[in-house]
Amino acid sequence: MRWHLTEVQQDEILVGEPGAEAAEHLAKCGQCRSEAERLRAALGGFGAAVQDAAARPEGFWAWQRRAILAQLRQGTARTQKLAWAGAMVLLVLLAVALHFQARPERLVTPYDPDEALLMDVARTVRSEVPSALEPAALLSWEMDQAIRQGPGVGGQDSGPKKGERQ
Amino acid sequence: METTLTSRVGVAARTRAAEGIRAEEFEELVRLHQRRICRVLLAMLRDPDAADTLTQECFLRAYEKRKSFRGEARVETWLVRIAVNLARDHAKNRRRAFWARLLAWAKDEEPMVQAARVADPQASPERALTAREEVAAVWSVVEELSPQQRGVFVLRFVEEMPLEEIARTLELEIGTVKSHLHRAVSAVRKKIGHRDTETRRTAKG
Repeated sequence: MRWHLTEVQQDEILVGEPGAEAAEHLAKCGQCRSEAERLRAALGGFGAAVQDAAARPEGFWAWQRRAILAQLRQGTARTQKLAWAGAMVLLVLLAVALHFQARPERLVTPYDPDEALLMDVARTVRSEVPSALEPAALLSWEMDQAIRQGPGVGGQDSGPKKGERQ
Repeated sequence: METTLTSRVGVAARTRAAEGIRAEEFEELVRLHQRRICRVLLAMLRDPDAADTLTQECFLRAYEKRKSFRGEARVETWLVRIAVNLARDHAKNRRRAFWARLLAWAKDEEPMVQAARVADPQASPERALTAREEVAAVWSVVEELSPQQRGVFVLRFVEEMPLEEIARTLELEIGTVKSHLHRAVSAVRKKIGHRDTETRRTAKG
C-alpha cells in the first residue's frame, strides 16, 4: 500500500466509528489491520483485566449487601431519632411562645416631658396654696390651732395635709 | 438471568415512576447491580478498597434519592451515573489520592498479574508478555485521564456501552462523549506506541 491510516483514522476505528475510506483501507491493508487489532486487543485486555480484578467470591457480595443494608437501617433509625428530637424542640418552642403570648402586656408609657409639665401645672392649679407659700400656710395653721386650744396645749396635731381647706 | 432480573426491576421502577423505588425493592437492586458498580469504580480508581467503599456509598446515595428517581433513565444508568460522580469526587481529593497511591504502591503489580491471566493462553510467551505490558500501559493511561475522560473510557471499554448510552449516563452531549473518547484513545495509542519501527505516514501520500 502506498499509504496507511492516519492517527485520527486509527482512533475512529478504536472508538468504533471508522469512516468509509478507513474501513475500506483496513480491509485491504494487512499492516494497518494488524496495528488496529493490536490496539483493540490492548483495550479489550484492559476491559478483561478490570473484569478479572473486580471478580470477588459470592461471600464478599453477600457481606457487602449486608453492610449496605445495615447502614441503611442505622441511617433510618438516626433519621427517626432526629425527627423526634426536632419535633420535641418544636413543641417546647411552641409552648414557650404561647406562654409569653398569654401574659397581659405591661403598659409602659414612655416619659414625656410635656406631659409631666402639664401634670405639674394641673396639680398646682388644684391646690389652694401655691407650693411656694406652703410653709407659710403651715405656720399660719399651727398658730391658729394654738390660739383655739389655749396655752399649754399644742403640737399634737400633725398639721394640715397638703391642699386641705383652711 | 441477571439481565432478565435487571429488566424486571427496571420496568417495575419505570411503571411506578411517580413513586420512585420502594424500600423493599432496594435489596434486590443492590444484589443485581453491586458487581457492575464495583467494576466501574475499580476501573476508574484502580483501588479495590476505595471501589468497595464507594460501591456502598453509591447505594446509600441511591437509597436517599430513590424518591427522586422518576424512571426517565434505566435504573442501572442512574446507578452508574451516581458511581461515576462519586469516583470523580473521590479523584478530586488529590491528597487522599496521593496517600492511597503511596500506600497501595505494592498493589500496582496486581492488575498486571491479572492481565497475564487474560492473555491468550495459546499465545507465545513473548506475545503474552507484550500483551501484559500493553494492558498495564492502558491502566496507567487511564489513571492520567481527566475524570470525565476516564468515565467515558471506562463505560466504553469496560462496560461496552454504546456512545448514546454513555451520553445519557453521564448527561453529556454525544459530541462531548466522542471528543473525550477520541482524546482517551489517542493517549492510549501514543502510550502503547507502534510495534514496528516503520515510520507511519500521518497523511496519505
